[in-house]
Amino acid sequence: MDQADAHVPQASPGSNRDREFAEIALPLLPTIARVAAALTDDPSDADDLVQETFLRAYRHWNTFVPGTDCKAWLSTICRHAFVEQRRRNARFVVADDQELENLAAVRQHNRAKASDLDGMFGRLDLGPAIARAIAALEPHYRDVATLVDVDGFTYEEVAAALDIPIGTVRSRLYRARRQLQESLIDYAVDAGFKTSDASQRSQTITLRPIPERRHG
Amino acid sequence: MVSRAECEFVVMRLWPYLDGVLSEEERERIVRHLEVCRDCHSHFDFANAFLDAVAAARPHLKVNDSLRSRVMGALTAEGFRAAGN
Repeated sequence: MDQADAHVPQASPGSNRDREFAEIALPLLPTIARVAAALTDDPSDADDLVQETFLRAYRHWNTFVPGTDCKAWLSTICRHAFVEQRRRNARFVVADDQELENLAAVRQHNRAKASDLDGMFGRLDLGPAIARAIAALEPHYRDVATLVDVDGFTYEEVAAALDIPIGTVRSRLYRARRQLQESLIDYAVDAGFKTSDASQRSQTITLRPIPERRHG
Repeated sequence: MVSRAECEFVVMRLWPYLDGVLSEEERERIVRHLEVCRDCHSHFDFANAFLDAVAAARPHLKVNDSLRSRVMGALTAEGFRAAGN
């Protein structure tokens, strides 16, 4: 037991400590719920883990350094809590060929183009469809994809949070993206959407730079 | 004129490029290629729009309300008081 465990918070209603906790930590509950879901196999275990994480975070809030990454701090607490509660063996590792998964992204794009859906992601409101497609992913893929693509974790942060190798993060992530693209293109085709802009197909246009989305 | 081998090199690094995890040397090679290759550029553009759409779907991925209220209940028992309460 460390010092903070013995400390009983003397919080007055709406104290600075509670206000900070409410403003900085609590909004990350959905993110930590996804970390917990990724760590556990059972939804009720995941809920227990989320509760334990926020309780520990609240008790130890004095150790959080303002201005640092609270998401990473909470993820670490979550993983420690998980490791303490249950000692499981590492999950199976999927050894995908990551480069081939990149080529699959090209195939998906070509398929979308062939169905006049080149602009589907910029022009259609796919939010609910994306949420359904994510929910339908196999859990190991879904977890990594949501942490990286929805919650903005780096590969390293996911590897640390879930205690899996970075190569596994990559292969699951690329596989998840491919499956998401497949289901979303299926959805758009079935719905009869068309989003190609014929006027842009043959004329010369300046190729604008495609930025990296983040620095890893 | 762009070479097919260079296109292959570039598209096999599509996700790592967008995720910003390539070496500086590889990154620059891809940027140079994307400036001149319409096909590869369009593949990257499509993938980038896909990632934007997934990130924007965040509000649709809701934590169930019962978990939220359960956590709030436990925190309240611990002494936490939300502002205004």
